[in-house]
Amino acid sequence: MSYHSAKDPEESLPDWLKALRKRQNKENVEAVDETPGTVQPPSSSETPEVEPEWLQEIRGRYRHEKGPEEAEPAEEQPSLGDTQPHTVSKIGETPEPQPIEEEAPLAPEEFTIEDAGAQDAESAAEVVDEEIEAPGHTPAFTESEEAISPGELPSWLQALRPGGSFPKEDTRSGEMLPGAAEAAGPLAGLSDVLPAEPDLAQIGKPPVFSTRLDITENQRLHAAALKRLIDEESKPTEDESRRAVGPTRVLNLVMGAALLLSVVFPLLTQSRSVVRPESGLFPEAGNVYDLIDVLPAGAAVLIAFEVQPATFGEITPLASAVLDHLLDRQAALVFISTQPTGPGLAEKLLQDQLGEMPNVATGDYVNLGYLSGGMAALRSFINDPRGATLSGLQADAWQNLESIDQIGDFGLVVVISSGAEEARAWVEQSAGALPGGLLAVTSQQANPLLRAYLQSDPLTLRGLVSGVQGAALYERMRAREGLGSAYWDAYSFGLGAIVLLILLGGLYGRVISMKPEKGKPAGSQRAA
Amino acid sequence: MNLRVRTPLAAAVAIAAGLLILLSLFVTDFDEIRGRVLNWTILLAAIALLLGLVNLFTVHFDRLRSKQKPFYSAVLLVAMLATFGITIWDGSQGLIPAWIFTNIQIPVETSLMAMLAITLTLAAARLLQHRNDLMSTIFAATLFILLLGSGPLFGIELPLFTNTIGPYITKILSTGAMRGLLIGVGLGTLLTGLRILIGADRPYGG
Amino acid sequence: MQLDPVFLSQLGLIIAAALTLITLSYVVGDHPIFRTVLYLFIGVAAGYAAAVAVQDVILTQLVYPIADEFAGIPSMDLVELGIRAALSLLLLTKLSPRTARLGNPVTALLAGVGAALAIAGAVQGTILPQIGAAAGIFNAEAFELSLQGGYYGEGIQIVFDGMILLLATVATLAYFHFGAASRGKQEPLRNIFVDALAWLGAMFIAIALAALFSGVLLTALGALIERLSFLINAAGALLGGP
Repeated sequence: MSYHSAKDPEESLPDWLKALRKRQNKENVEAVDETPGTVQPPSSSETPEVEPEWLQEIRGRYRHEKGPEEAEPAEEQPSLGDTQPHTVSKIGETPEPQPIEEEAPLAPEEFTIEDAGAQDAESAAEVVDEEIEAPGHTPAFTESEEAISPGELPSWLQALRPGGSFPKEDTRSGEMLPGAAEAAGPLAGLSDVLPAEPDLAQIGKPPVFSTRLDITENQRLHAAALKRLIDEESKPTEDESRRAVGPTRVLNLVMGAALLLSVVFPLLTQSRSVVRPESGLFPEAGNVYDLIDVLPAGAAVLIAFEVQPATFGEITPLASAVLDHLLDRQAALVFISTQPTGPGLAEKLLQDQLGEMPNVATGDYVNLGYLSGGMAALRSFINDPRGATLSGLQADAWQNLESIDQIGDFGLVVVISSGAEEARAWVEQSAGALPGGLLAVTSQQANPLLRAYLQSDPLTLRGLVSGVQGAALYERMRAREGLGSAYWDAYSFGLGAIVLLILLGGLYGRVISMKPEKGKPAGSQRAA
Repeated sequence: MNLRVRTPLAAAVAIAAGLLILLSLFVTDFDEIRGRVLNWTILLAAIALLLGLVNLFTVHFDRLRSKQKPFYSAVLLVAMLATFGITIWDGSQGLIPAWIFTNIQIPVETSLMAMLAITLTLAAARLLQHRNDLMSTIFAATLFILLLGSGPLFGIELPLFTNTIGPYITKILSTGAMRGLLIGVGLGTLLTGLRILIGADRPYGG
Repeated sequence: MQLDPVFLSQLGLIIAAALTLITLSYVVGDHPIFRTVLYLFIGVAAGYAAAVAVQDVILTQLVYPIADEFAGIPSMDLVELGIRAALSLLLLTKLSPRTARLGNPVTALLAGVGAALAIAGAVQGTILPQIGAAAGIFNAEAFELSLQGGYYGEGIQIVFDGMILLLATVATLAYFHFGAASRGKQEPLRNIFVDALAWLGAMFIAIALAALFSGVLLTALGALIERLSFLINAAGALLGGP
């Protein structure tokens, strides 16, 4: 066999052959070195210990018929032959009339893998299937036997490696060699690391190669079958139990309707019977309350309003409660945002929810507007709030804030944020400038990530309160009733509905998927 | 002939700007120049946003011309141009821009988020239906416990979950893992940033 | 023409309610009206964001100073203004594929500054504080107090919690550890201890992801409550109900 390629042979190999080679290297490096150029049928010593019984039986049969000493390239019975009917005993013999014989056999030197892939893959695969299932034959596989997992190539497929097709010397590409530097990903440049982009991560179709190989008809058939296996790997597997669940849309509708009704009911009845959460369980929320409660009157408080419209509905009750507390403490509020929608939403919140507070009614607050540039804007503002790029209107606003030269001059810095990333950017960029850290008032989705900053050393986040639960909690701490209390019952019922729906939906699916489908034996259903 | 020449100028600019910013964090003499560079960045970021708008316009204008789902593109273009024009003219706090923002953007965006409650509930139910592996079981069990501990269900509080197991997962297990993730992300950011600063990565096409 | 605020408010209520219902109707399935609303929303969001950027930044930082310069009342240093104008023009060359290369130095400036700030923020705001937190995970003061007060159970609890917290952090980090020993011609293999720790880390990551999932779910529930509350109030206002 020979390569007709000037490139590094290993590089020009298709992925599946590389994978085969890797596996063989692992299992039998010595055997390959000793017998280059020959195809070694897997001996008993090479057989993996985990090999299923049926495969061992086939191997035993194969050895009994041919014997390992007959394993010469010309007379080789490739292992996939095990899957063929036993009437086809030798490669050289003309087999029974079968679909594969209808095709004009290609001369070995004319055959290309590309041909196999493009023209024969499907038909050849069908041939294999038909032969297996053809009446009158004794198929190697029966339905009662366990199906081969698509991700695990059995060892008989490994024997497909054409013997002697690779040079003896190590022809692996540079990046595969031990000690070679990683070429991609964040580990690029480092050696002796696991590949950043393993073959498994390459979910696209393997490239079709035109490298000519001198292979027999049967090998061509096997290559096509293997290609089919690999192709099927990249296809999304059909979820059988999903089919069993029935019309998904109806289920969606029922579950959606149940959730909507459970939320609407308490809102319609304006129920306020559910006990609000206790502050003892949320010390980080208590910190927010305590720090605001000891603010001196008139202290300037910076509000980083990093809210997006998507979470505005959820965050409004909590932000209202906290801002109400700040306004009660007669804090001078200064708003800034690195979100284009931030200033508009801040204004809407103030006017809709806190319009009756004296400071808001008289416009005694500052909205510095939008700062574009993300982290650069943050850093610029944190280093020099006055010098940062601000609009003309904002320049007037600074006249009321003469005492503020740096961000540390604010009595408090409160980040009201939709997501963890925006709040994290503030925490990171202000870490050096705010030794005491800042407060975060966030959407519930930001809570798990930001929680890690609560115990950081040096301290970067002093308090955290989140979501509808946080709003109800904060209002309870303030002994007031606002939107948080109004939503709390609906939250409780919605949460109950979600838990029930997940549980019932999951159980329903399990029960349905356990029922055997018509015309199928119970054992043949694959668990999804 | 397709010539691809690497321009050293872009790489030099990236390296110089990055090093200057890093240096300015330690040397106060660079404060002024750092302020200038950051202000340029703020301006350029705003212009980049404008470029994005122009790009969106071009894409949908082309679709409109080629009659590729022209109705949707027409709706988008009219909405975009009208909102842009009116907001520039009247200011973002003007009557009409605020009306558009309040009555179109906020309802749609919040509703999309609201719909997520239904779809995520369905997704969680599907997870219970179909997945059997260890990680999925841990994920599902944790999710279930956290939901049980997130408040009273139908007004009934389950103290075991709200006071004990839920907080333990949130404050210990999840926070510990998050800390590991944050350190990992921080190290990744550090490495990626350094690669840009030494010119190994050139996302700007230099 | 002066627009009547009351009329605008009523109209806005109807439109917002209709858009909310159309968007929520997606739960039944995709339909052309939903798609139309989606495109409308994208257009409005893009137009609004760009307009705010122009109004708050570009006009005040570039256009007005240039106008002032031409009007003979300079409000900005001419060199500074020249640099800003030049950088802006170079960035605008990205609009055309033919001239896009001219804009590379400007995008390089953005990338360089962004990388430096990301490094500084990550080190100062995340890596060091989080490592500090992981190192000081055992609350020594509380532990000492618990022993002095005879609260041995609480003392053990403090140590146990600290160990679990530390294990979670280390195991999660191990999951992302890709260092491996060379094995001649074979693929590098990860240390078995690190492998075991990484397996444990995968479990902790599953727990963290579940926490994130529940957070997003509860956020969405909050949004759903707000939207339904809005619809009830809107119906009340429009139909004259409560």
